[in-house]
Amino acid sequence: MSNIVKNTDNRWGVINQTIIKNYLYFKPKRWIKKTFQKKKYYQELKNIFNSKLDKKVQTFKDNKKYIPDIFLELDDVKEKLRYITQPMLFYQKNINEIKNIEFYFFNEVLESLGIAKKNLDISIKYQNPKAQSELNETIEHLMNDFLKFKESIPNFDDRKEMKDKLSEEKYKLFIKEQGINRRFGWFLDNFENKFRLLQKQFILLTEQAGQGKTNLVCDFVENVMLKKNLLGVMLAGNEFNNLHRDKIEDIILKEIYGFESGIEFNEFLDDAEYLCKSNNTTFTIIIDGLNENINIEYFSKELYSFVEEILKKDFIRLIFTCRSEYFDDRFKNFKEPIFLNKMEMQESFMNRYKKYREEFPKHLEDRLISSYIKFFQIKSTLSPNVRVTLAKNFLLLRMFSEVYGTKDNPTAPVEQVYNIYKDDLFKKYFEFKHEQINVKTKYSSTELKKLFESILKYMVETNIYTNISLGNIEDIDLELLEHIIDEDIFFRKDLIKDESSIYANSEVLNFTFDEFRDYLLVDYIVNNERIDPKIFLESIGKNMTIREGVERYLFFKSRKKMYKVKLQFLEELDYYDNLFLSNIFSVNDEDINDDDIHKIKDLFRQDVIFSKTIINHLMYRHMTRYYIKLNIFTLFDIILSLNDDEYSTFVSEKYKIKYDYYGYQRERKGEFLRLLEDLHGILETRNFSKEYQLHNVFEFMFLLLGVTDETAYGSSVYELTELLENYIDKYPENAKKILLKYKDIKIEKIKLEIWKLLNYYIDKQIDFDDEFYKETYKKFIGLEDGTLKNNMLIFLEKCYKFDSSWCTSEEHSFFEDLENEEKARMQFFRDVANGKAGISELLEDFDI
Amino acid sequence: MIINSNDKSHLVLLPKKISKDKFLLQAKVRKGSYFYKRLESVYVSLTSSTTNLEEEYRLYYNEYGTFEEFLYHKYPHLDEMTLDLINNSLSTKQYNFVRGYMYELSDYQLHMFMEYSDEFTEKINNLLKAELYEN
Repeated sequence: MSNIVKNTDNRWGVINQTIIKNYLYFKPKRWIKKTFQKKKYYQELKNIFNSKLDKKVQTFKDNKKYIPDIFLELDDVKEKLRYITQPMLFYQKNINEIKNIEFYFFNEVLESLGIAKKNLDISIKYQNPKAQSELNETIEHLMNDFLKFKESIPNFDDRKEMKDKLSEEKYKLFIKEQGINRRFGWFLDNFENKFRLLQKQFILLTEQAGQGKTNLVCDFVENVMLKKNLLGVMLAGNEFNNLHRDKIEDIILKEIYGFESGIEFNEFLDDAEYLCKSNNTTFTIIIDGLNENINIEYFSKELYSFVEEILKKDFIRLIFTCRSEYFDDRFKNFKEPIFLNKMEMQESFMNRYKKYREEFPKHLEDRLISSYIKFFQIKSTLSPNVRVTLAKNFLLLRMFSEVYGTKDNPTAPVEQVYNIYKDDLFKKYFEFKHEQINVKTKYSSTELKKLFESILKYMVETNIYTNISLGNIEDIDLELLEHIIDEDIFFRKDLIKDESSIYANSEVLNFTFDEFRDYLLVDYIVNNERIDPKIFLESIGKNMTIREGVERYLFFKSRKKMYKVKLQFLEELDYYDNLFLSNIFSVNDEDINDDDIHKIKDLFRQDVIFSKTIINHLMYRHMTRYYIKLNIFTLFDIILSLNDDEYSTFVSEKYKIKYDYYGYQRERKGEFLRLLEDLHGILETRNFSKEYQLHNVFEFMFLLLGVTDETAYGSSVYELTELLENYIDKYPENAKKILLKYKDIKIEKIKLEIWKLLNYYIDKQIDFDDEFYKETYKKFIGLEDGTLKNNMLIFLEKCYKFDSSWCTSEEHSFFEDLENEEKARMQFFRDVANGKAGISELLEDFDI
Repeated sequence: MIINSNDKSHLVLLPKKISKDKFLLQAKVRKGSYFYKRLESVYVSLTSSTTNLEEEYRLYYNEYGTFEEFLYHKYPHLDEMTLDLINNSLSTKQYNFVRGYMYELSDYQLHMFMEYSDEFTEKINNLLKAELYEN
């Protein structure tokens, strides 16, 4: 048992009045239980530790600071926490692994060089340490063995020496494998680092804001500590806000035992030590977000002396997290502390994770979204593009989840979500937060509104939108602001260089999500009679950090009837067309009007960049039941109005297939090929009777039959033809409707390809009506000779052979003449084949 | 089947009844030939110094309710299709799923060989099918 009580010099040696009172009442009661019902006493204590940890994780969940399953183990940070908290177990793991390592290749090379084989023999006495207290020393011995082994590896660095020693053949081999001695060493270094980590008692994790520190520790507590019954306690940095009143130890005790427990810290330590030593385990104190403390300077000093003292207890483990910039500035005393040898500093621990996120695999994006859906109990169905948008922006995902989640919002919408309209989402989110603050806190929505107004007013008046010094804002409720910073994702505090000093940094306020700030600013401006939005926009000047967002949200507001006149001035901007096209597709379909559609149609012909943007957006709006006004049909209208040249410039240009040269190779390349491949998959796997609107996408493909394949001398893209033939096979009725719809299209190239496909269609079935045959015949007669005419003729001939009842006598004689000509031609070829005729007649038309 | 390999480690589904001799016999390569030696070193690098992941889960990571959960969380880079493949193979009881240090403990030439020849890797994978070694 600990002798800490006897030591009056340490932090826990002072006996005061409260303690004496405790000794009279609480302590004897516990003493009796501990002495006569020891097993029960410690079992109950373990249950207390576990239930408090569990409760704490639940609190983090309730505050939505911890969202289960969103932490992904992409790097080794969680593994490090395992090592620190379960040193005996992971010592065994690494010993078993290293025992099993065979240096087969290294030894093969050594043998070939005539050098004795090397094997790492782990002494049996280091293989099974009995108690955790032996572990440190055992690892030191083991590391010594590692060192001896590494020193026994011959030094290959001196080439000259080796040349003298080895035969010519062996020397050649040596040159080839010269680095092998270092590889031996590197391999062992990795294990050495792992064993060294097992000697650490304290890990400090730092990262920038919003990178998942809380999620990591909560995930670790919930999924490792609680599942494995590891002992510990978890607190947040802001729970130590009243350190002038309470000591760190008091706060930890309160967290575990509640108020007025009468238990002293050294008694708790003794109990924890007893439990740990009996089970060869550890007790972990976790403090998440050291930076969240409001008296950081005092806290860091107190914490330092607490850590220094408590690390003397070998069963104690500490896991602290802190925002990087705050750690660098306010916790400098932890940078080279006296207990450095017991501490693992893990800076920017999410670095690898962030790198991974740049190319986050789709299955992980899906996992993340599913975790949010599950946690927030979202009952709406998300379309694939909505999932992609949300996976790429965590803050947006968070806002969306709160608005659409039924967890805290019983009136959350339950619908099919095809698109995220940020403007509407932010509005709903802010309204939801107003309701929540009334229900869940002591503050009112009026106070919340006032707080935001003060901050936004300050921004507009000073033209300062980032790094706001709180002292400069008039009439602000700092307590409420602190509450919001702690509990919500609206704001975050940052540290910036203080201009008044070359050393000091000062704390400032920022919106966490810039776009949300821009939305709120615009909302504030357009609803404030004293502010002219036009003058405000001019006052921003070229401050692009804010201008782009403000313009975007002004544009969204301008689509609402009530702001239309007020924001008419936007249309006078030089770059209004760009502003319009960049944002019109993010406007809720309800707010689209006829003028918008006309403008889109006009802009399509003005610039290739415009037409590409329009196609990119409209082609994915095939869900015409959802996009009622602005949808893929708008694109059909546009294409139908184009002539051949316009089609070539504004449509074909986007999709045409080219050769891509690299080295001596060339490859057909174009986004169109990828799209066609995807559509082949869709045609094969999706059920069009359930997703009827997919037919719209295929209708668009018929309109791309005029796209040029430069690698095939300008003909149409054969993969597209193949896709549409498959479509005709699978959905002949739908295909027939489309073919008939576009058989007379203005764009000649498409018309020709449509007729080729009509011929493909009638090879399968002939089910047109007489009127259509008659009409086609009339058009055919009026056409000039050419490929189109030939294709129509083939079509008519096939139809005539199938059913000639639609023909007048003139038409009959036309087809009979054709038949006779055909017969004569066949007879001629037969004669040539039988030697009865020469081929000179074939050359009659040629002037040779 | 080699599930995944990088500079540091590899994951592979190994038939339980495989052995070096059986593997080389299945490969139908002439003893002493270049490919015999090459395949021999592939076999050794895939199988020696390896850790059985099911055992590792049981001993050290039993915070996860099942082995499937362990794989899902501890190896997040494996997509659902790969996880299914591993779990289905293990359910036949004909495979061990192991991790090891294929390239760290072997020579760089092997690394180059495997990295740049999909065809070679495919051939190795064909030789790692459990049904070849059942009888």
